[in-house]
Amino acid sequence: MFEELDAEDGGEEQEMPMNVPEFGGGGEDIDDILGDAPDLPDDEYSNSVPQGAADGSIENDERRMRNDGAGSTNEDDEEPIEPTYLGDAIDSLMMHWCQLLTNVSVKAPVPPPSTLNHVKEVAEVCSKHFRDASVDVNNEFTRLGVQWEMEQPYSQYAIEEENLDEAIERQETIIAAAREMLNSRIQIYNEAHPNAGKHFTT
Amino acid sequence: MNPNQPPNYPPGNPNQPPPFPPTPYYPMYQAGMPMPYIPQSPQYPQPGPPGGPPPFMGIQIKQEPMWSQENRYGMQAGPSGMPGMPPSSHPYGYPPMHGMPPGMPQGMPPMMDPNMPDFSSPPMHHPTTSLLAQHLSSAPLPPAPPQQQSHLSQLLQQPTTYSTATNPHAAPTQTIARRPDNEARNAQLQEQELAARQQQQQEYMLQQHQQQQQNRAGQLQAEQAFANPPTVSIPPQTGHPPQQTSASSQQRAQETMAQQTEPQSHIRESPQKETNLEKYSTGELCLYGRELVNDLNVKTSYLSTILKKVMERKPLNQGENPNDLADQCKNALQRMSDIRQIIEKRREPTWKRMTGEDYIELMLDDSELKKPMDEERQKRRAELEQRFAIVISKTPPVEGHIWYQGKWISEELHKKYMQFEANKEIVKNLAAELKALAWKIDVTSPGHLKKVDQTKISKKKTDDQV
Repeated sequence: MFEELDAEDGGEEQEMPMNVPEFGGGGEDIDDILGDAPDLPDDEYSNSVPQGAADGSIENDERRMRNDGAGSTNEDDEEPIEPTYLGDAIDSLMMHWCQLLTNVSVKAPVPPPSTLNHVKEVAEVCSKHFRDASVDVNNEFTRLGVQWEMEQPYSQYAIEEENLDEAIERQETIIAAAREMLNSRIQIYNEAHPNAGKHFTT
Repeated sequence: MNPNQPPNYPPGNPNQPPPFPPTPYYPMYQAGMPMPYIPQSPQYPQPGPPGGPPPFMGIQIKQEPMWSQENRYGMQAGPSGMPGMPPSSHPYGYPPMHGMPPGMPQGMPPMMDPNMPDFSSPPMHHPTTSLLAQHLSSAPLPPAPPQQQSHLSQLLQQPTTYSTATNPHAAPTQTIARRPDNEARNAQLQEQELAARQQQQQEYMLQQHQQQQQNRAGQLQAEQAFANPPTVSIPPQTGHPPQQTSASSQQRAQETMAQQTEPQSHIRESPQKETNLEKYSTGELCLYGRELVNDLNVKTSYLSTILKKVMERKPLNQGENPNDLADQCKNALQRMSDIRQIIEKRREPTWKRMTGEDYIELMLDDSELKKPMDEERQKRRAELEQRFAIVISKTPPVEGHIWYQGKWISEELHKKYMQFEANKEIVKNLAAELKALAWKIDVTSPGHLKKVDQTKISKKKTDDQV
């Protein structure tokens, strides 16, 4: 794997006078990793993909994700998942995570960018998109969690009781440890000085 | 004189009340009562006109508390094995106390003030003070932060190559989203989808995160300084109840993430891991999903740093493998997808997604409800009351429920909350009192006082004889 990276670095050096400092080799690395995944027929899950897959690696990635997630042997019988806000947010996060590394890579048919600033701007835009997608997924999970807490009060009560039991147990442990420590030290002092505080010096 | 007076006043004031209640100290109280009153009046005109008496009185104040405290501290320090006071120092300590009153009336008040609390203080104070000092000196334990925070802090310390520095900050800020207040903000901002507000929110969450960390660190220090409990590994749970929910889920999530970080091949995951996610509730799954998003952000930032090293052909540290890190990121995305499938499979057919307007309607207070509302809004409120009864209902949905922190909870749960609050108060008071005691020990410790020239005491004695 490192030899391939070195070879790619050499190739890029020939094409460009300056090295791409940020994500040049990462794309190739990710493509190689994705290339190891088993190939799937193109028509099998075309309906289940919510966005138009512009890049082959993204499509492969999503297919592999769904297969691993299903965990069932009958892959042909699997029905597509209904589109939801959470599903769209997660799919967008996956897509932008792949783009984070592939959009700044250079492949043979595409000519390399003319200036380094162009690569920096593309990387900046990709990182902002990835960050926004992360925030969207976080917001959706938060919304669903709050709604579940308000709709399923008894399950939430059970969870809170369990956590309160742990917290109360820990508090009582702390109080008992402090009391035991003080009592033991008082006992040690009394054994060493049985007449302490019983006589007047003056 | 100024630096000398502060150490004398704090030990004197809190110790004076104890002599009043105990009966056997009454003779001592009678003997000491007339002394401080008589010389107080001549003390004031003396330091006024001449310049010499002030430093002389300062020296006196230095001498008396040092001798008396050294003797008492030496007696107490015996069991700890510290070197006690030599017996030859006793004649130097006691005779000045007896010789001072008849010879020099000016020295009487400073002599009596430090002596009164020492003799009249109850015996319980002595073992507590000395034993606590020994404990503090013998067992200094630094606070142990939670495991996840240390993990995140280590990863966040890595430099990033992004042109914008918001990504490394995004990870810790979104951790604050576990609290209900931030959840409300998230829900509202979700509808508006404005980038500027998101940035402001992230900054606000970052500040809250820092404050929260400081609070936790302070609590850890306070608890470990005096208690030293055997269960140090348990993270602190003395905060708000919703935080405990996240704390418990954090532990489970960490265990699951620990399994996840193991090197995994491309083999499809076994159904056993599927059941691991099934046993969590929907709320905990949502919390776990948020943690996965934050973890993905951190690892992506770290991955870009490693790839930069690869590009520049710098040697990678041990354990820095871009392939393994990329696999972990893919596993996080995969697990998010699994969580999504589980959540959506559990939903009822009549489930409806909560919108921002619904949440705002739920959070309105009474002043807003008094305003006139149209028929459509009343109908919507009735529907919301049916869906979220524990939050919006005026009367308890179940007989015996109690309104606590914005929602109706069962009586049993309320009792546990009350017990938790009472225990929290006990722990807080205990920590504060032990800290105050430790401060008194440090302030009145004779080791901090300057050594006194014994020649002056001898000279005083000689002058008295002459």
